Amino acid sequence: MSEIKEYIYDSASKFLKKQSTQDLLEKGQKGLFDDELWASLNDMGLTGVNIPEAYGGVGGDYEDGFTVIRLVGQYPIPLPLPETLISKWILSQYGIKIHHDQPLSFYFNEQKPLEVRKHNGNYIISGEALNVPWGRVAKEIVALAKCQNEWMMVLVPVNESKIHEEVNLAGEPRDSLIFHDIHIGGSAIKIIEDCESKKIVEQLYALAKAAMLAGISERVVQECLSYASERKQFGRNLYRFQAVQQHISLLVGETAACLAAVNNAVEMLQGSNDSLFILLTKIKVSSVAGDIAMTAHQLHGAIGMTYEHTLHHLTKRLWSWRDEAGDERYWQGELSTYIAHSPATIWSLLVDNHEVKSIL
Amino acid sequence: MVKLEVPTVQLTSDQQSFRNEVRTFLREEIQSGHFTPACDSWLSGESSTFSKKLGDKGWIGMTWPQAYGGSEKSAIERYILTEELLVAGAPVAAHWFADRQTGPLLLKYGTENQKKTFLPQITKGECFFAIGLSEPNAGSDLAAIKTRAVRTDGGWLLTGSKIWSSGAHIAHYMVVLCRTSPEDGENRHDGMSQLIVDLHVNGVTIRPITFLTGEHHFNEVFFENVFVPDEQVVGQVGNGWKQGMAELAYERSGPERILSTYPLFSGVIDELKRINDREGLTEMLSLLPELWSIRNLSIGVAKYLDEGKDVSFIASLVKDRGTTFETKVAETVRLVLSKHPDLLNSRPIVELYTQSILHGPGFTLRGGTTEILRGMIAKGVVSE
Repeated sequence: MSEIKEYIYDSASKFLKKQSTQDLLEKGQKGLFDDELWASLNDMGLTGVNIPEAYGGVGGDYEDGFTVIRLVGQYPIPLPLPETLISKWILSQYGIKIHHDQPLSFYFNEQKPLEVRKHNGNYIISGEALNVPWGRVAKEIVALAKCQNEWMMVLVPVNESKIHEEVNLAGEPRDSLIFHDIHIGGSAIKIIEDCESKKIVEQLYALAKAAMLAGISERVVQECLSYASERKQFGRNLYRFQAVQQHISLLVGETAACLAAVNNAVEMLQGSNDSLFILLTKIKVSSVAGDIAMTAHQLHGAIGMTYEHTLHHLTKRLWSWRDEAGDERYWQGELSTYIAHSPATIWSLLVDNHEVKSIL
Repeated sequence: MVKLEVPTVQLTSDQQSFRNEVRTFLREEIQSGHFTPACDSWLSGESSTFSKKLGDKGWIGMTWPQAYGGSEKSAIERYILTEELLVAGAPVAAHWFADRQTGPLLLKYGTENQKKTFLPQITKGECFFAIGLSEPNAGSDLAAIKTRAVRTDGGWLLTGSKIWSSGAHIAHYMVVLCRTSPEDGENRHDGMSQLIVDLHVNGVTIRPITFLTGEHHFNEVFFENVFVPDEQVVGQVGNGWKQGMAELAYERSGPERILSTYPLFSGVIDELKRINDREGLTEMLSLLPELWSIRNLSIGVAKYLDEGKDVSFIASLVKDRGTTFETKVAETVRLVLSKHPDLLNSRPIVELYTQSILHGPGFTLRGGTTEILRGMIAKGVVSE
């Protein structure tokens, strides 16, 4: 672990653990935005991880960034920290500096990009950005847009859009933003040269969701272990029963497998634009999220089904996040395409050190 | 907070070159017809010729000290070798247990004389060991073993039997866990010892137990007043349980708990790619994320073990998840391939499929049943 990663991990995990209270999660469920907490995240530098200092960030790398994102899974806070980070990562890569501390979000949909028209040297944006996480609280969104045959990345202000408010199960905003002839300056537009870059946001978002799911699974395991070691029936602690031990091993085993997938995918991200490991990770994590949620409820019995208990704040996120940034069916299709077109064997794709292989 | 993470492992260029070297060797062996890739080859692929070849290359006991015939490579190199052998479906059963278990056991607890006697022979691929744990009345409840050794002049007299001993019929020795003091109801794990038993001495009888395929892998081994000299006691008399358990983390987290059906998995994927069956390919590939995540967990455990960390419950968890994957492969192939399992069909893909179905029950039983492992996992995490 790098020094910054260790520091981030310690301080952020203490902080988020303290903040992620039942009370806060209930505010989130009702759609309330906590400005004060957002300001604290900025003060702590958490909104600047893996962003160069020249762009107002605190430096670090993808590992650091995804460590923070995973912690937001483990100790959920109803704020768009992962979305803001991803947006800033992309913007800094395209040389765009943000001069405010407000939340950001994104919309990268190759099938339905925003439209850009050029008019007297100005750029005019139109179109509908669907399912934008935290759209209503974002000051701007980074979006994929098309101008005739040219692909572009645009930074569009949200306050000029018409907002259709929608939420996921946990009350997290997933809004549609309708833009009608918005004028933006040339500095908020960048041409996308290579084809792969159109997919980068989708992939970072998928990996972020996977990291959050792995993080929240860790938390679910923790809650289940506490319950199983405190609760007694028939004069014994729950975890003493073989049938309950089956549940615990499923929770622990799948969570460990998800963490291993996420950590390896993040490591591979450093210095490579191969999407294979992100596909594998999102499929793995999404496909077990439902089992983890249901097993946790089974283990908690009726008390876990009440609004008073914390568990539903966690399981609602599992049930929502597994579908967000592409469900496993979607990514399985992508994986199949990837493998069908790859001349390498499956084994080589999985285990070889590709940097070394290319030299050979 | 219970720690469920293991380190990530990125191969160095030297390690990748080593992987390529192993791969080239195996490809040549297959091409010259020296072996046919098989599923579950670490149980059923017995070839003393092949073991000898690996020994000549320095690929048995490769992590052990040079003084005992090893090459002092890291656990990661050994991991690479092991997974390449299994992926190729190579016949590695003969030397498997000596390389995986006996060597590390002797290095940790053996006398200098034992190390000098046995380890160099093992590394040459000339000396095979069988495991002597289970008994007819002691399966999952291993502490119920009854085989006992009583003191005699200069050694011990061993009486009892061991069961499910894979490859005992070709092995030279067995490490037998036995009682050297009567069972104490309070402390069931006390009073056990580990003895190295020469399987060719008087009083040892090896009887085959035919596997459900009709093949001979397992044995029951009987001991009738077999004399075992003091020099062949491993570690301390009475410490056998603890010594035996220490090795289980190695036994449970290795690639053989994930890759027993890999030759079938990759064979079917290649076939589906060849005939351009995208639907079937997508279905088979739905298992790939599973494989990738468990394999990362497993190699992470290998790194932890190398660093001397205690990972017993994560090792159990790798075996539980890994063997579940192994059985899923055959079940998924069943519907994708539309072929019937058939012991008499010699088409390679059908052969691999039949092996995977029929060997399947063993995956989740051997080396600790899934039920026992899950109990260990649950108690392990709760106690942390």
